[in-house]
Amino acid sequence: MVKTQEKVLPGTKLASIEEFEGGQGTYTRDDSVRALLLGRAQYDIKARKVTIQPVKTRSMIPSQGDSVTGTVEVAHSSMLSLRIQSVNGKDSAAGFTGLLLLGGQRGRGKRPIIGKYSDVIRATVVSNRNGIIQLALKGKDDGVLLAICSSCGSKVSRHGTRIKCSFCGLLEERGLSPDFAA
Amino acid sequence: MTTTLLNADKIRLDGRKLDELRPVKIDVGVIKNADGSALIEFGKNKIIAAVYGPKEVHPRHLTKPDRAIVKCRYHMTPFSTDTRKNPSFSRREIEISKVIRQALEPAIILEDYPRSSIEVYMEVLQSDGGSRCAALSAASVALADAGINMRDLVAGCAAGKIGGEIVLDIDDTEDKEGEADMPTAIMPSLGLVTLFQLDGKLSESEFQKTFEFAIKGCMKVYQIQREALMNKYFGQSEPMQESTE
Repeated sequence: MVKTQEKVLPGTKLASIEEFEGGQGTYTRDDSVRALLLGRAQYDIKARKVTIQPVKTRSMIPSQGDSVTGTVEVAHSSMLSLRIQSVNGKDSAAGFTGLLLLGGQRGRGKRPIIGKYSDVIRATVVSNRNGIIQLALKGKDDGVLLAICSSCGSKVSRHGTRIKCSFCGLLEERGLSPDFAA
Repeated sequence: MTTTLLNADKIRLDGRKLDELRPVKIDVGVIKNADGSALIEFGKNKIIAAVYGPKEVHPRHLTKPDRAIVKCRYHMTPFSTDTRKNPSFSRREIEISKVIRQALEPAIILEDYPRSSIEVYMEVLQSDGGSRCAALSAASVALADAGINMRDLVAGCAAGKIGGEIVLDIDDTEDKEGEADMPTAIMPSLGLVTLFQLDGKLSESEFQKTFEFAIKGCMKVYQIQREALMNKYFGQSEPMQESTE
């Protein structure tokens, strides 16, 4: 049974620690459970747990499982660094950087080229431990969404699993998303 | 020439009693492009506060691996004072930016946002004394509006001594002509002081009384902060749910 609708501000005392356990949006100080956020307190009478339903939900720091879209800022053979521009489809101006580690084992064959500098890539957050956003192409729609020719900067078009420059004809390898657009 | 700050009935120049606060009004969410914002009118002070973040830290070498950093900028516009103010940062603005940052940091759960920064900008549009406490109070509301995890709101108010009397919320003239000024900020629900400064000399009993006045002022400001946030998000204000400690 959940009793809701108590409007709270940061710091509002919700319960004593003997009465309720603090859940999401709460913190414990001394013998009290208090609100961290502006929102509505939800008391689960059965589980003896109180949580806060925030009134303002927006994408902040990308967390595990989020789908992010970003532009490649740094491209190495082993990893790509993406400047994240949207989280779960919502624009993000926070400018966080995610690391997309590329598959393949060192010294054993050629690593696949997933993306290059300035490509726009959709990826999934697999970890946010210690604030380092680690990405992977786990989702079925993940991959390169937009690219340009790395030789001349012209538009490219899908050519099977690769891309072809409309100007110089260069064929390049990319990990294309099903939603890839030239 | 010295100004008489109190009349025979102990009424101040602007008609206030000794323990009376100037009219305070707070509007929440006044800037569309900021993550959180507030406009405070504290007497003749008009200050806008805007919060951005949590966001990537620039320059990156300032990044803390285990927590967020808070960047505060308190700035007075050239038209905020009676004579034009140089728009570049003065020593005073740099100092106030620092003390406001130190006053806000205990209220923010910085550990929830590792490797990120929370930026707080306060722009003084019109100043009339007590602007650091007003800016701090507006910044605290803007942080709550931005949805940043906070231990409590921070409410600020100054008290001081003029004409031999302890008064609440001193304005610009009282600040310049008076004997002491004590800007104070607290986290009201937790009963913790986050900003305490004293300019002037006070006896022990005067110090005690001034501090009590400042706390009383902070509690009044907290009530206004609370009503502003409640009005913005729930369309109504609510009575205090708990007595503060």
